[in-house]
Amino acid sequence: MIQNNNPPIFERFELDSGVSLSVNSNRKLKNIIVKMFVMADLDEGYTSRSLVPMVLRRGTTRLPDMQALRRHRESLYGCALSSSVTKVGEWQVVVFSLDIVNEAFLPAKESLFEEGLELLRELIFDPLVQDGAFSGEYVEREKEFLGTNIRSLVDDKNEYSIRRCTEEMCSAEPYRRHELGSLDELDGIEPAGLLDFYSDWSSRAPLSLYVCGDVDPARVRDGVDGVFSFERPEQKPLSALPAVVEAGEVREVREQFEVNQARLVLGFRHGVRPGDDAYEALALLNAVLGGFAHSKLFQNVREKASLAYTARSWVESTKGLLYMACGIATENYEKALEISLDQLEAIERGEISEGEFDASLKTIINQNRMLEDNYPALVGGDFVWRLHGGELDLDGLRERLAKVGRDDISAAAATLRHDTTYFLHS
Amino acid sequence: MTRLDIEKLSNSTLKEEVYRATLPSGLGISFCPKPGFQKRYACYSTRFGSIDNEFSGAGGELLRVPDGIAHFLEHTLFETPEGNASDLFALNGASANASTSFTQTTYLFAASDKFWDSLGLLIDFVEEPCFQDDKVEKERGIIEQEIKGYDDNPGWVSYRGLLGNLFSEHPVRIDIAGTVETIAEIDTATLQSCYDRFYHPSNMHLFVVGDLDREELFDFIAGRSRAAEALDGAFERKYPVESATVFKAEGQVEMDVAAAKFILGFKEPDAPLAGEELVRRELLSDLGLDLLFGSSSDLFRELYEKQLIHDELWSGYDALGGVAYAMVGGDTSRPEEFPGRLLDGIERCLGEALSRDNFERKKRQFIGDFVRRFSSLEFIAHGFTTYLFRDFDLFSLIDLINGLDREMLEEHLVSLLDPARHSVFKVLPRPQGQ
Repeated sequence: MIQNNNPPIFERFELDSGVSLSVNSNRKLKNIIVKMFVMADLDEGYTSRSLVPMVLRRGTTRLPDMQALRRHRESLYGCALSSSVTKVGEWQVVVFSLDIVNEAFLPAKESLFEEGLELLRELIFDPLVQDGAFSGEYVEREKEFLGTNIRSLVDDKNEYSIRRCTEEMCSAEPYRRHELGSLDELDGIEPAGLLDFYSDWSSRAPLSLYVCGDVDPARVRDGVDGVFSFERPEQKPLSALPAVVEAGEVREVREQFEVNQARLVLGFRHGVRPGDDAYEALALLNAVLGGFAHSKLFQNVREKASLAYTARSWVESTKGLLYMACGIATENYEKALEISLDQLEAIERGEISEGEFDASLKTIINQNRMLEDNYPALVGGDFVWRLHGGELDLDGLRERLAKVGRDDISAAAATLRHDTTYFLHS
Repeated sequence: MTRLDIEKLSNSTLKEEVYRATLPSGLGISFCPKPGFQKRYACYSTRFGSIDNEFSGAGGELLRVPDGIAHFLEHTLFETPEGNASDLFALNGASANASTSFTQTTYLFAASDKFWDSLGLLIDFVEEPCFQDDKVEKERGIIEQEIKGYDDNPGWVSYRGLLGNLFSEHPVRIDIAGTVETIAEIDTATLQSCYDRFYHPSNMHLFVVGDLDREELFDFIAGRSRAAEALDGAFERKYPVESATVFKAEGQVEMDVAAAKFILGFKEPDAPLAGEELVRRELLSDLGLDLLFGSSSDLFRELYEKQLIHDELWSGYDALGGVAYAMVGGDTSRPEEFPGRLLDGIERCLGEALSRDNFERKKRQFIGDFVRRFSSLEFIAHGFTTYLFRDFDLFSLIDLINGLDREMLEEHLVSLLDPARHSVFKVLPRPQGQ
């Protein structure tokens, strides 16, 4: 693992309740951003885990319906309170977020932050319970809504084609599971069973809380300690990082829809994780290949061949995947596929111009610096690094990026294994 | 160098300030200092959007240009004699972008390192166009794919469908990017004639925000930006007169969607073009729509509990080019129930929705939302520019919110949500097996 000798971005506190608290105190924000990460393996419970936050948002013991919750939020100067379910490699993470105005920037002084924290605690740990179960009405309604959301994934053809590529590529691995869950699993979920499932999970899950804003870390620690003062049984540790799966023969999958534009998605495996030696080289490879407008995919698929409006690549670094995607006319399938794969082969052969290398390095370094102002991204980035046993260190990343040479990028390209070609067409 | 008259705007609650000046060319420039931020952000905007398709040329003659030309011009401006501007920004490690709306085109970049090189580049490529036939041809293919991508997006399709229903003449009814047919008519000459008028410095504004020195910044811009003669003759945009009634009361299409989408819209055939009155009307509309349809409203609760809508209702109001419209939309499994349920709900719930408690709470929410957004450099730059183009200073919004009163709101909403001026557009799931 990499040693971090730079000043840390977050001040850390381990609280008696088992909550791991990270605080960034800064003068830049007018709001205070609070995020609670509740973690689990991406196992069979994934649909229940996706449903729970939707039931929680319906009401708490004190604020038993959405209208009461919403009106309370409005009286706290319209604080935002939301949850999302994401997949980090083969872990599933539910994130509860509070975004509340810092009272220092209001005409009237009120202790909004503590009230906001209390609201967040209620949302997560004090749901409306009736006869030992979640409200039956809420569970039924939210099951239906989640079902619609899962069925609606087909509406956005860009997202849909990426999801389908992932499902095909990882058909025998937990990563195939969509973070929202599956329709088959949804049917069997009952209000009492769901509450038991949630109580067991939330009482033993690793909890990580982040706070960013113009705040005093000691006051935040005391505030969090006071609000999240529950006792919790021993934590259930997460599974280890998924093993790297080798790609076999390239799988080709085609699906037909009535669309105006066809979507081509290519899935690759690399197995490089945050903290690995090749991590920075892979980031640069992606920058040369398709991360930006100067990258090869954009330049060749869009600018030279005029085949697409979007043509890009991106990295999933916990599972160890890389994707390329473009939106094209159906008849241009062969051409777009050939040009896309050619770009990667060219990098492998060392065909990276001075300009491409320079632009890629500078763009990544610049973005990395600007990340210092982007608190939601800092929190998300640090959370992922901590899951890999490190912590986010932007200075260190920049130092290591600066040492990557063109040979390292070619070497990283050579480790990519094309696994799946997915084509959604008319 | 001529000394600039610098105007300072500030807000003691927000603890923010903005400096503003006008160069001899007529270009407006602004700066918001943000000490401690790594990111520096600049946006160069012109009051030229998709609705500006009829205007007076240099000789006073009326020009009518093809639909989608503002957006097309945005794309082609990136082609410079030294190469594509995005590539040149990339050499500085900066990422540039641009966007076109109904009323505005904006070119922007964010950078930490090499900010001055990138700012110079932004000024140069926006101010020195180089329209070439082969580049225009190439861009046409790219924009065709962009348009086709939008045509697959059900949210966009329903929004465009509604505007096409509400308005019969006004260019707000046409797609911002135009259509494959209209962009076929665009050539270097039409691009140049738009550029000559709409990209005159007096029609533009450059806003910079970040940890920079004001004097250095203003000197840099004044030294780099072009000199310009005042525009020849009167420069006027012409917008058609809209009738008070809606063009079509309803419309629908079928797409591959899991749930039906509906949008209910109301037409305001007459709205101010700029000024505090316009901004107040926008605020009243947003606040009123949120009170009626937002997730703390009784109407929302009723529709949600009866399972007539899947999730939240969204709503919005837009005033531009002398017209305005309000919208409310959502997803449903029972599209046949809409817009009836909403029209009936407006009539039943309006009074209670505007109760004193509800109104005061909603004002607090609007103030909090506004303050929170000042954490974002992008919001500051775009917010200020957009309001500036409407002759309004963004800092004054807090006072305007505080000064709203309930009677004013009720009167406005009753007139805005006139059932005689509604139209609805639906995207329905395509029947299986077709």
